[in-house]
Amino acid sequence: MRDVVYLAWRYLVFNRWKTGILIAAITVIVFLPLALELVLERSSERLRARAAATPLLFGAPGSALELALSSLYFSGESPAPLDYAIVAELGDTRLAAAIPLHLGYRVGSHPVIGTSPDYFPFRDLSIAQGRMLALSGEAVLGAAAADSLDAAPGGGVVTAPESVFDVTGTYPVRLRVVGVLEPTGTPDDEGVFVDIRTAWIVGGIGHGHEDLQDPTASGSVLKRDDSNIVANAAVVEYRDITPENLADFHFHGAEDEFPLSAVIAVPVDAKSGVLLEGRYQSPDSPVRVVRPTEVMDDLLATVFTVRQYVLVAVALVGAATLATIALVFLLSIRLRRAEIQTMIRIGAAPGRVAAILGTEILLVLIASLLMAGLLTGIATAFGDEIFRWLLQSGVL
Amino acid sequence: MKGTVRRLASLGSLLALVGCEPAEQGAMVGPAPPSGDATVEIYAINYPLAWMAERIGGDAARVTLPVPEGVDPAHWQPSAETVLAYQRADIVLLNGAGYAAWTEFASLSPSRLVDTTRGLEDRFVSAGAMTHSHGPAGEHDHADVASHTWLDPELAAGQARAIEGAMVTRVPDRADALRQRLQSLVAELAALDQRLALAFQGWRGEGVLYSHPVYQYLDARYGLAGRSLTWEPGQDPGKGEWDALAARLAEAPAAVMLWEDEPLPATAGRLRAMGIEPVVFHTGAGPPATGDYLALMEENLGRLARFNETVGAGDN
Amino acid sequence: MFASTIAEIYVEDEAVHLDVEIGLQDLSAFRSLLPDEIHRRMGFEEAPLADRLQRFLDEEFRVVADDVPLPGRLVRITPAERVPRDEITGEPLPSEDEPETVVNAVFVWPLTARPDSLDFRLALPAAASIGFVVYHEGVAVNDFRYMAASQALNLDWEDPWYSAFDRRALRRQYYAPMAGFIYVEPYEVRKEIIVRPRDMQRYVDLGLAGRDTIPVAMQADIRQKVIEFLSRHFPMTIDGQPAEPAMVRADFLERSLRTSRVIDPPEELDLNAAIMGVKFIYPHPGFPDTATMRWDLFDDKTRVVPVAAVDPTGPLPQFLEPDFDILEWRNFIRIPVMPELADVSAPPGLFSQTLFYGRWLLVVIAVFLLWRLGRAIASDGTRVVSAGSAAIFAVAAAGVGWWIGGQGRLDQAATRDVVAGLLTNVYRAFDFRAESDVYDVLARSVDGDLLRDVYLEMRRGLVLASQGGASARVKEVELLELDAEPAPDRAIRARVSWQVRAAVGHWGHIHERRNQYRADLSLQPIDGAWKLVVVEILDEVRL
Repeated sequence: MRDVVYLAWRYLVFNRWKTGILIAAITVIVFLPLALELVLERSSERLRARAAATPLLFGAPGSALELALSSLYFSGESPAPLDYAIVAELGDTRLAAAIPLHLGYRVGSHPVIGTSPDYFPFRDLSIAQGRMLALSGEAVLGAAAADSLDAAPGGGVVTAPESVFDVTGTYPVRLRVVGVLEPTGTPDDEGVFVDIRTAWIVGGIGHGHEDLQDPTASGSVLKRDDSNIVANAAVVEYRDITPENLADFHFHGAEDEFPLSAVIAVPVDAKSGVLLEGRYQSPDSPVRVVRPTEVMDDLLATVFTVRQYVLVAVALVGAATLATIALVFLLSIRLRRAEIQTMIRIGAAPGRVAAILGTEILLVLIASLLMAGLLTGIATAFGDEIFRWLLQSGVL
Repeated sequence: MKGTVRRLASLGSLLALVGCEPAEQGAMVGPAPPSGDATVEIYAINYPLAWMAERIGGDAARVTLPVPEGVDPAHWQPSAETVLAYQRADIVLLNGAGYAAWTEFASLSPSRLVDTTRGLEDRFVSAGAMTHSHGPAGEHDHADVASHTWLDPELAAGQARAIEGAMVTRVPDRADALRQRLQSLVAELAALDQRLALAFQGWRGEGVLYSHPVYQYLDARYGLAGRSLTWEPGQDPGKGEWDALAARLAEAPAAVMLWEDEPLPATAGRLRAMGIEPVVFHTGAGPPATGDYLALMEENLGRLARFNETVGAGDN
Repeated sequence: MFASTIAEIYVEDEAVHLDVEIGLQDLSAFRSLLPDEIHRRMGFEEAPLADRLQRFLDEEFRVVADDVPLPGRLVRITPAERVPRDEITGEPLPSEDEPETVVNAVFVWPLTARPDSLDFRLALPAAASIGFVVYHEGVAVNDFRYMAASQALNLDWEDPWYSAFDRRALRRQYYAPMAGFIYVEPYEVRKEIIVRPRDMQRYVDLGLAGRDTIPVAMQADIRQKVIEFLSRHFPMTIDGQPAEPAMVRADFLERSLRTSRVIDPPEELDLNAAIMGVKFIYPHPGFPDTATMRWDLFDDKTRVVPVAAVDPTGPLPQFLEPDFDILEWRNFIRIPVMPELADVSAPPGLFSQTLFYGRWLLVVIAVFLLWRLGRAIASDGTRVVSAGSAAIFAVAAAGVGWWIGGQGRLDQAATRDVVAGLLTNVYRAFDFRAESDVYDVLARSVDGDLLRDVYLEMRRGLVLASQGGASARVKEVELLELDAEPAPDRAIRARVSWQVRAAVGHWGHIHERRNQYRADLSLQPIDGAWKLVVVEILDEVRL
């Protein structure tokens, strides 16, 4: 037996290119579906985990998928706004704690997430440097955002303008970085976290300017009467929120009507969650309730449907490849006719020749399976980082 | 098909964001779940609220008012560290009615905030302050509401009920004791209300002035129909203000001016010369040097009584 | 009722129109309208059509306005297909049957002035069954009734709602501009008021002055204003105490002899005919002893108000007037009405489940020991006592084990009882109103995601009810078929069909509804009780 293996081995080594290509082809056929399964399983696990950790989402009527994606992963279009009054309304129910979310603005490519201090323990986020948010105008950065923006406590970041060409749009606001979070490997790492009121200031609902009652501000006054001063468009609004000018900031309008993108509701217990959902079943309700797990399951079901097609395609390709490989072997045998004849002439039994050829095939298969196994092991251990790198680097 | 492609595209970008950490578990937010042995950590933004919380909470509550001594809580700006301390409280008591503007720009959890005048907005009184708006049709700001709501003992009782309600949800096992203490407090506030009503009887006809626009709820509760100036106890008002006062008195005389604190002797003397008796009525916004809120009101009542005696003697 | 000939009479400003569908059985009564040839072929006397038509209008079908006969004319007469109609309401119905051929004739009697009364006088040459409805400016004056020789109609041109026939038998069932109902059910008392927006305009400005219709854009505001107005009237007491409603809802209704329904989606409504229903809901712990409603809205147009107190035993109608203005309901019910939960037996414990299989081993051991005993007896008999004791013990153990093990799995009968009990208790949960009670009762019978799904479905149903839809109370749940089999984790899977009988009460009606369902269920023992964890409805039929 050893001689058979030896001869087969020597043949394969001698024809290393052909052997290498065959091993690579079979490895790909075996590894591809495994990798696909692995990627989908791990990714769906991660997606489901973040959704499962978010009991209920409240948003304006509209796409549940859009609401879930933007609130959980800060991606996609910002959903239609809902009124801040829902926060107090949920608090009054005593069934859940409400965590407001305001989305839509960015610092570079990083989302600005307006929220309340409850968000951080909810997502198990802790401070690595500096401190937590305390005052408006402050920002706490996710670990990846801090790296990317090269910002640290004591520094600053500037929000992106809404539109380069809309001169009447909101201006950028400079935020003071007071803290950086520990990395978590979640979308929170990319976030620029601010207090909800800071988000409203970024959006232009709140602003600061000179005191219009001061005589030096007369150039900014359109008209005044006994109870009200009307400012004109010349009044300059502060773009920096500092402890010194914080007292000059104010909001116009009723806070209950200020916009939110979503509210995360954390029910006291399972029963409270169901009771809370039950209160918002009316089709006339200005607020919709979404279970992120259901949205994610729905999304992933679509993906897994597509996976079936992909697997079928891979199977077909694999079958074609195997057929091609078989053809290669057959052709190879034909080409090696003289070699085979030589082996027979020097005393090799036909069975022994067949064994040598078969062992060549076997060794190729074994090598392919080992390679596929190795790649699968690497993908299992480091697949998340590799895939993320491939996506972020633009390769995929 | 389009929806499927879009979903796949969404998934693709999502996959870039998920990491390799173990599945997250959403943590509890808000104050700790109610427990019979727990003490509720309460932070207040002014003294009357802190006092009411102490009276109602008893040993079930640990109440903190971090406002430095001598600083008016309405205009205090806490440091970031202090705001972080507020964040860690189980309950943060707000006065509402626009009191303490700093709370508008502090990062505080809605689940822990208790607006003690929520639901009492129909009792709010105008501050008579100047508002501003942007453009002819722009939104007005809402600085027009007076904020010293506790000076109306009925409103103060309403605030006390809100405090008790918030505490009961945190320590439901102590509900009976909290309710009893609330009832006792409400009874005391009712008694204070009656004594103040008696003390202010007849004041409307005398003409009442306020050194500063902080007495609106006292004014509304007891029908004093007073007028506010913007004088500070430790400063001379200045010629312009004296002239304006004289002009006002020519239209409608006044016999008394309530002050948040002792005015300068010169100011007091000049007022008396104009026939106006300055009477100190502490609002109690900050903690008194000695005693509690009721003791402070007791002192206020004493001064009112002395003024009433003077007027009565003068009438005689 | 079924009439061979259907007459719709429209009284408008400028004319009275008659649209009559003559059944073939009544052709001889309407022979005066037939073409000459058909008239002759049917064997009637020779007379020209023109003369016969004149005779028809002058003698056979006269319209008399304030005692003055109106001149009329035939607009057209053609063969047509009969419009299938509801035999009670006379409303057109869709039908796939072969249509019946009828003769359709349209007449008009022009009006020069608005008469105070109209008299429709029949003197047809043969008997005919004529069903008719008169519409005065779009408002149906009467319900679908048979025409007699004469029917005098008093016209109210100010408000056609109040136009009415002299004869009481022709009075519209819903003649009253206002009506009130008290519904008393376990955990809930409801006050339902029927009003006309046009009448409400007399009390509160709804913006309807000078209008003929109520556009959709105005309806939300009108509903709100009517709610605000009626909330200040018709005070309720429950068990002697003033009651405040937890929920109030107003809707525009369409009322017929068969049913009343909320008009949804909204549509533009004729002002004269528009009706609103306003519901006030008073949750109550348990079942009250008394409930009263005082009617405080009488005027010249509303001197008598039809009302009814409705409880699980049925309605008690009466009339209120200024001197007798309180509708009172007292609890004279002797049979229990509070929803009771069915007892559901507990699942078998692990021990008995184990013995379900293990009892065979006990039997084998007992048989073996009996054999040993037999051998001991047959041999020298020295070990009879010990063998006998062992055998007796084994037999006893096998017997007890067999009995206990027999309870380790539910048989079909026991499964039926469990499933019937669980289904009953799920429906019972719908009787409660406090959301926490509903959830807790549901949680006794349902678990997992199904608990959430059923609860939310129930809440959506309640939303529908509060929007004016009917509130249904389940009276009876009857299991028809069950086919059960064991499933992993000590669960049971069953295909079940069952019927539900419910009473639906609203706007003065109570309807019985019976639905039949077929579903695949899965029940599991959880925390010592059977709970439904999966329900997949296969079929639902309304009987």
